Amino acid sequence: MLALARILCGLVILWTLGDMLRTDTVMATWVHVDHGGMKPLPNKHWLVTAMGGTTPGVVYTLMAVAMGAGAVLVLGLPWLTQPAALLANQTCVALFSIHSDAGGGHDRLIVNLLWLLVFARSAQTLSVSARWRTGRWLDPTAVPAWPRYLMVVQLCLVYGATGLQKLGAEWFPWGGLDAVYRSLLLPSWYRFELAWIAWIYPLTQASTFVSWWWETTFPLILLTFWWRRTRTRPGRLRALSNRLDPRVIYGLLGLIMHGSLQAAMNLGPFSAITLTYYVALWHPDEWARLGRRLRRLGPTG
Amino acid sequence: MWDQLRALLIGIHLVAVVAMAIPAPVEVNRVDVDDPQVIEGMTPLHETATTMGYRGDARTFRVALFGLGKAIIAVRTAALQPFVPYYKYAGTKQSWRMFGSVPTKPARVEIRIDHGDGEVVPLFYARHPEHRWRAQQFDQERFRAFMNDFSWRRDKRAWRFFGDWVARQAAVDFPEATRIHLRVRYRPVPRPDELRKVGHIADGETFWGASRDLADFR
Repeated sequence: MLALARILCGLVILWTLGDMLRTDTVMATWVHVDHGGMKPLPNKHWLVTAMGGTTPGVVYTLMAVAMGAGAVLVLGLPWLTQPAALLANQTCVALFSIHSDAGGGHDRLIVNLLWLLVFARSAQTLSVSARWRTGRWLDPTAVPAWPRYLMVVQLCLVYGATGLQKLGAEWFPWGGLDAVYRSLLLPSWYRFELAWIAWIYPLTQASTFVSWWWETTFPLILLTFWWRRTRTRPGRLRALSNRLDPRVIYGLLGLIMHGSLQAAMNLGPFSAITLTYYVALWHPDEWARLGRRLRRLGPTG
Repeated sequence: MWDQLRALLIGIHLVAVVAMAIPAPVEVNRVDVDDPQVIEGMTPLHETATTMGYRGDARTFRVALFGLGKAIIAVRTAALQPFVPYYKYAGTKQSWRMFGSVPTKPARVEIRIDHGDGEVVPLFYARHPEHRWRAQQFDQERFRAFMNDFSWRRDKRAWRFFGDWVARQAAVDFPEATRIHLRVRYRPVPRPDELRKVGHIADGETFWGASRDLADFR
């Protein structure tokens, strides 16, 4: 479902940059103090240097180009989608490199996905391009799947690496499994003070335990892809995995975790861009089957 | 030919992103072994090591662990060198240290103002329900990200620039005001039973107190 990833990624770009315009934070975040910003911001990216440094003109131009490219990605315009992915990738890398302390994991997830979209034929379907070529929004013509698998690898790296780096004692039973409880009480990130979580402390402990194991073992999802491909071969684990489909279990846990994060904390578009990668966990045929099933459950079904 | 080239590029991409994502204790290069938060975070590890037969004191343990961390980073940096242009130009950098260690003593920025009558009143306290001056900006997630550094007592230089910027905004918004005061205040996370009892998080001590004469910013 590269098309869905393309659309969601474009929307996330519009969100993260549009939110800076809405909240009037562009000047203070990305413009050099000599030009009306907050602090000295050395040119760390070739594009920023080539354009003349972190001045308002350069920053707003980069933002306009990135947002324009994001809109092209959402629409999937003919001939322009892959160049737009490259343009968005380069402008976003440039912008996000200006003040690296004023960003987060979502910035890296955005540019990583854009880089894959440069090479993916993601405008084949669900796009203006499909409508132009076939007269329909949906074009079932198959496209190379390797960008989809690279998205899955990227997702596994994110979760596996972040899980393995959660080494504070608070993530483990000998530290009281306090991590989620403490995280939800960090004024830097919470939306509002959540003192009431003290009443559901055991639930936060359970969340800490599940989060750590869920993140750290997420890369095992890659095995399930192999086991599904070789489903006719013997092996108890293979059979069990194909029967239970861990992708669904991990996916549901991810939805709960990212949904809770989005509700309780302001981490920008982190949940949205991470969940964008989830679409790659399932084959387009599986998404199509899910769509048919949902339609049958609908009022006209 | 194209198929082979594509396979090669995918292979390079995979090696580059996997190698970069392998966890590394990058913090050891910028954190002091005697930092109170470091001591607090590493005490349980030292205790565990002691139960397993380690004989050194807590500081020796921290110094040894930081030394090992620095050695690992040196090897990693050398190994990643060939891929640096790829990370830089394609934006494929991988750094996924998120909530690796959660502090028990987080802190928030507090800004107060003197409107010229000698009384200092709250203007903006991070995430406070009432003191919400320019909260739309301060609550934006990128602002939160760099202000989060202050709660860890990181980047005093950025704190000074932040103070100047706040003074410039206040000088415009409050033409009659004379001074602005900034500080960071600890908000220690209480034990759950304590929090259930009192129902709110109590203020702790402050640090990095600073003030600006607004006449200098008009």
